[in-house]
Amino acid sequence: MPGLQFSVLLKIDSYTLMRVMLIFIIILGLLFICTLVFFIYKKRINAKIKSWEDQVSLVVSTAVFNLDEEFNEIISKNANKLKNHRFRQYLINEIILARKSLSGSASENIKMLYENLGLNNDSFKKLHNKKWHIKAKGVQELAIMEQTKYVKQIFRLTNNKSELVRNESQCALVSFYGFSGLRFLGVTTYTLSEWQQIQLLNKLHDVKPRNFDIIKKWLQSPNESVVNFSLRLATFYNRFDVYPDVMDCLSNTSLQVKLNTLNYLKRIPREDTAGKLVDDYSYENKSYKLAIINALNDIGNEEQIAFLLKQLHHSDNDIKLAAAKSLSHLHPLGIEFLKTHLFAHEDPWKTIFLQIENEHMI
Amino acid sequence: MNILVAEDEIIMLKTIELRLKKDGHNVITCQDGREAMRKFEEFLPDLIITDMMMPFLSGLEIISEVKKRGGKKIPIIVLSAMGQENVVLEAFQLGADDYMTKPFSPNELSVRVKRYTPNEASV
Amino acid sequence: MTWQRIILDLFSYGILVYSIVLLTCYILIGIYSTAEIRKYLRDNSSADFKVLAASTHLPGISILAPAYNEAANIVENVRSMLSIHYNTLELIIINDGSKDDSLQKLIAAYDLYKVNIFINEQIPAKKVKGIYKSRNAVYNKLIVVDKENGGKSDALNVGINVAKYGYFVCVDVDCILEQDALLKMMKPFLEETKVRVIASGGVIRIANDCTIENGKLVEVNLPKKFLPRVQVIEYIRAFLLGRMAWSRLNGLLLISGAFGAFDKEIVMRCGGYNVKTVGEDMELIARMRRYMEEHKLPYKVTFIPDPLCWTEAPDTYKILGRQRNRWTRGTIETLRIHKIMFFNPRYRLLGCVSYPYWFFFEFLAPIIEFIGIVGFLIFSFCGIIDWQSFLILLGCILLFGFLYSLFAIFMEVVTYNQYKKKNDVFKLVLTALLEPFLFHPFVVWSAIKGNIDYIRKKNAWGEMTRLGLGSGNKADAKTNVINHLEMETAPRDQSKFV
Repeated sequence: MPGLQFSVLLKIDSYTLMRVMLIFIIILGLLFICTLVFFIYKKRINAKIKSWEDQVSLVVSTAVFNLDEEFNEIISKNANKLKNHRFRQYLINEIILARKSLSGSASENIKMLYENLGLNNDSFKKLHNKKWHIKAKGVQELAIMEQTKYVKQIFRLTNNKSELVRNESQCALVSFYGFSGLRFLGVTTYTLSEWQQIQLLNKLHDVKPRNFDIIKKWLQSPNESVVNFSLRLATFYNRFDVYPDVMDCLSNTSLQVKLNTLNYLKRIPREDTAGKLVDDYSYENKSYKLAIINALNDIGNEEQIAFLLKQLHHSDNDIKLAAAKSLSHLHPLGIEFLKTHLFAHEDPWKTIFLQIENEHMI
Repeated sequence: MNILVAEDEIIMLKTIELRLKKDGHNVITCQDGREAMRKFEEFLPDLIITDMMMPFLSGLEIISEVKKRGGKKIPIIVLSAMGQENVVLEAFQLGADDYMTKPFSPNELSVRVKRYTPNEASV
Repeated sequence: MTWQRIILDLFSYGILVYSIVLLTCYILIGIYSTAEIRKYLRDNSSADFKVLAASTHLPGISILAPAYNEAANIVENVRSMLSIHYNTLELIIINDGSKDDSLQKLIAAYDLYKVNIFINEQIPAKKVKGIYKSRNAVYNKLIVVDKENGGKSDALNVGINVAKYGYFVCVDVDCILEQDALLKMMKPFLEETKVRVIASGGVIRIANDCTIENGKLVEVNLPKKFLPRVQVIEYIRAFLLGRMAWSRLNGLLLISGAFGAFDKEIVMRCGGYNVKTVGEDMELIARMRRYMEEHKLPYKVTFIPDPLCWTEAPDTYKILGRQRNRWTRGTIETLRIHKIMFFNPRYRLLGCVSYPYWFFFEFLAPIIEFIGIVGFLIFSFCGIIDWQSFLILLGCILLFGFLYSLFAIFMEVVTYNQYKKKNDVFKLVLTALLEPFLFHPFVVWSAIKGNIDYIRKKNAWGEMTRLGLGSGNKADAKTNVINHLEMETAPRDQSKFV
C-alpha cells in the first residue's frame, strides 16, 4: 500500500498495527476453515443425493405404474431414510419433476404417492415458515400437486408483501381453478410484473375460460397491471364479446395499455377498427405509431391507403418502411404498386421497396 | 428392440425405461446430448426417444446429427416440454418421426413406440 | 517544522486516508454483495426456466455478436448460440470486415444467401456490404451482416440498426453461453415494476482449460497456468462481489462488453456505442445512466450472478498487458467524457458515489501505488525508513488483500461452486497468496503504461490474439514480472472490459 512508505513520518503505534494484523490472521484462518467446511459439506451432500437417486427414481417409477409389490418392497427398504428431512425434500423435488412431465393416470398416481407418504404436510408446514423463499416453495409444491384443500391459506397469500410468495400463490390458484383462479385480480393491490403475467399466461395455456364477463370489471381496474393483463387475456382467448370494453382502453393514456389494446384489436377487429386506429394515430409515441401501421397491415382496408401514403413520407424511416409494407398489402396493385411510386428510384424508398419485394419472394 | 432414451431428468428417464422394459424392449439410457451421441454410435439403436432441452446437445441437434451419421432409417420420437408450433415444425423438418409434448402419458408413448416395432408394424 | 516536513506529512496522511477509505469500500462491497447474492439466489430458487423456454409471450431479443477474424471457431460458436433456449430470438453476426474467410465459412456452413433488407440507419455507422440469411428454415434465427471494418463499437451500432426486437444482448462471438442464459438475463427486465431496467449485466467466467465440445461447455476445470488461474480469482472478486454490490446500490457503471443486455430504445436515444473510445462498453452505460438522470426518468441497471458466459482469458503477460493497457485507457476516456458528473449532486448516487469511486479507486489507484513505490525507493536510499513499522503495515495490507480474495473464494464455494475437484480450493487459495507478488505488480505496471499511452494519444487497438477455444494452442508465457515492486493487492474491479 502506498501509505506505508511514509509510515516513518506517521506516528503509528506498531503495537496497534500488530493487533490489527493478528485480527486479520484470525479472520483469515476462520474464513479458510469455513470455506473448507462448506466445500466438503457440499461434496458430501451431492454424494448423498447421488446415492439416493436410484432409490427415489425407483419409488417414483414403481408408483407411476402401480407396481405395488416392488413399491412396498422399496418403501420398507427405505423406511429409515423417509424420516430424514433432506431425503424427503429430495423426494418431493423429484416427484414434482415427474408430475410436471407426466399426464393421465401416471400423473394421478404421482399425486397419490405424494399424499400417501404425507409429503403434503411437509409442503404445508413451509407456508408457516418465516423465510419468504421457503414459503413460496411450499406454495409451489402444493400447487403442482393439486392440493386444493389448502386453498384458503394460499388465497390469503396472494396479496403477501413478498413478491415471490404472491406470485407463487397466484400461480397456485390458477393451477387449481384455471380461469376462475384469477379472481385475485379483483383485489390485488400490487403491480403484476411482466414476468408474472407471462407465468400466468403460461399456466392458462390449455385452460378454457368460464364467466369471462368478469374481465369487464378488471379492464376498468385502477391497477394498471391488471388492465394490461386483462387485455392480454382477452387477446389470448380471442374474446370478441368484450370488444367495446377493450375499445374504451384505447383512450387510456398509458402506452403499455394502448399497445396491449392494439394487440387485441389486431387479432379481433371489427369493420371500423382500422379507421379508429388511424384516428388515434396522433398519440405521440413512435412505437405506438409503428404498431398502428403494422396493425393496418393485417386489419386495414382501402380506406387507409391515403393515410399510409402520407406516412410513406414521414421523417422517420422505420415508419416509412412499415407504411410501405402495409401498403403493399392493402393497395389494389399489391406489391406492384411500389414500382409505380413516384420515389421508387430514390433512396431510402428504393431500398425499402427492395426489401419488401425480397420478403414477398420468400 | 433396442431403444435409446435421452432425457436429462433421471426420474423421467427411469420412468420411461421401466415402461419400455415392461413391453420387452432393451433400453439404453443417457442423461445428456453428448452421451446420447456416444451411445448412438456404440449401440446403433432401432429407435431413439429424445428430450429437447438437454445439456451439451439439444434434441434438435441430436436429430440432425443422427440423420447426418447415417441413421436416416432410425425413427426418432421427440419428447419435449416445448409444444410451440415452430419448434415442432423444426423437429419434423430435421427428420423427427413423432413428437410428443410434455406432460405426456407413458402408456401413450408405449403405444407410439409399438408402431416402430418391426413385427407389430407388419401386422 | 520545515516546509518539506509539512508537505510530506500532508502527503503521507493523504495516502493513509486514501488507503483506509479504500479498505472500507471493500468491506462494504463484501457486505452488500453478500446480501444481494442471497436475495438473488432465494428469489430464483423455485423459478422454472425450462417451462418458459418456449414461451411465446416473452419479449424478443436480438443477440449481437461482432466478429473480426474469427474464422477458426465461428461456425461452431454460431451453432452453439443458435441452440440457446429462447423462443423469440434473432442472432445477428456482424462480420466487421474480417480479412480471413469467416464470411465464406458461414455462408457454406449455414447455406446463406444475400437478401435485400432496408436498414434504418438511426445510429450512423460504416457501410453494410450485405445481409445474409439461411435457406435452411432451421437456421431462420440467423442473420449475418457483412460490413466494412470499423471496430467493435461500429459493428455493434450496425447490429443495433439491423436488430428488430426491443432488447439486444451483445456478446463476444468467442464466448460460450449457457443455454438458459437469455431467460435468466431477461428476468430482471420483466420483474421490475416501478422503474425501467435499461441494462443488465452478467458474470463472465474463465474458460481456459475447460472442456469445450461443439461450442458448448462440457466440463469446468481450473486453468492449469498461473495467469488464467489468478484471473479466475480476480473475476470472482470483480463479478460476484464488486458488481453485485454495485447492483444493489444501483450504481453499476460498467457492464462488460462480452455479455450484457440492453433496452434498445434507450440505447438508440443515447446514440449507440461511441466509436471513438476503446472502452465502449463502460462509456455506453455511463451515457445511458447520464441520459436517464438528466431526463429524470426512474431507471435501474441490474446484474445477475449466475455463471452464464465463459470466455478465454489472456494467458501470457504480453497479451494480458495489452488488455489491461486498453482497459485503463477506456476508463480514462469514459471518465473524461463524463467528467461533468464528478461530485455533481444533480446525478445523485451516480455522480456522488459511482463516478468518484471509479475516479479514485479504479483510475487513480495504480498511479498512487506507483508513486508510492517510487517514493519508497527514494526513502529507503536515504535511509529514513522505519523498517519495523513499514513491514508491519505492509503485512496488514497484504493480509487484507488476501482476506478479500479468500472471501471471494468462500462466496464462490457457497454459491455456485464451479471448481469441484478435490484440490481446487487449495489451488485457488495458493494462487490468491501469490497474486500480490506475481500478478498485481504487472497489472499496475500495465495500467501505468496505459496512462502513458493515453497521454501520448496512442489509441491504437490492442488486438487480443485469441488462442481459439477448445484448441490446445500453446503460446509462450513471457515472464515480464516486475517483482522488485512491492505493493499491496488492490483487488480492483479489473474485469471491466472482459
